[in-house]
Amino acid sequence: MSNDYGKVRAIMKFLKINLRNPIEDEHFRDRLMIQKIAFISKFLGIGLNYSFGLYKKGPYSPILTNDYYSYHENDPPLVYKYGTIPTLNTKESRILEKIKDVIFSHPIYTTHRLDLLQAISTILYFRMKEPNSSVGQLIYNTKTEKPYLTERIITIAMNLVEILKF
Amino acid sequence: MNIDSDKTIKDLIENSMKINSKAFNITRCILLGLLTFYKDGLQFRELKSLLGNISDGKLQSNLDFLLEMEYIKRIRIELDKKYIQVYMIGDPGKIEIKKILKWMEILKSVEGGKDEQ
Repeated sequence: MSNDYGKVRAIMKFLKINLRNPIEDEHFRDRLMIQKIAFISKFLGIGLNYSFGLYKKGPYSPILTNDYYSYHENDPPLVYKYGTIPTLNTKESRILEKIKDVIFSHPIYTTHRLDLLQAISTILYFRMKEPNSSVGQLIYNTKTEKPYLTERIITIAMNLVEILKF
Repeated sequence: MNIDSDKTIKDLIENSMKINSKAFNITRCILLGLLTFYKDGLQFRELKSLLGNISDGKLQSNLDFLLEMEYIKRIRIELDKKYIQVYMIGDPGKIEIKKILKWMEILKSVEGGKDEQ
């Protein structure tokens, strides 16, 4: 297991994400949140060594998956929270404040949280792979990769990605 | 053929009998492989997208078979106030994948034996 999962838990705590034990079958939402938030944090400059692939599922790291399955395997769900976590530095805290201000405070986040995170992380992934892509190209690629996301969500996500730029 | 080759051929035949032949078709193997890799679980729409031009009916019937054998699980969850279904690998599915991989290793050794001749 990589030490980076401690940092992922620190990120989730900083963002006040109420995380349930992610390895319970029914806690799909929590696993999705971990993957998308970890990718967005990494893209924005928080040091995480996980590699993410995209293919059809949106940014996804199988090593991160293995880490949370290993970490929580023997963790009694009733006492589960964040565990011992590393301290985030000032730069990392600033990045997370920006995520809170830009993404979490958007009205659509309260109703379409996971679709929005999927759209944002997919756009960022394409931007990472092809930094010179136009906005139109990023939207087209995201629509093609995730045909079930609505145009409205993708457009809002694109606008938020533009604001997220440091 | 030496004694080791005899054993390889015997293993090839005997281990093939341990595999559920109904699980050993390309679509079902891919589904088991995908759900092993994405152990977080996959939605029907993601599976359909991953498998390309498979029809809804064909995908559903293959999933239904794997569910019936308990190789996979279907979990109903709430996501953004909507209910969706997520498919995950089950313990019998993990065991079946191991049997298939073991048999494929034997098949690979048969291919290696042919090269040596």
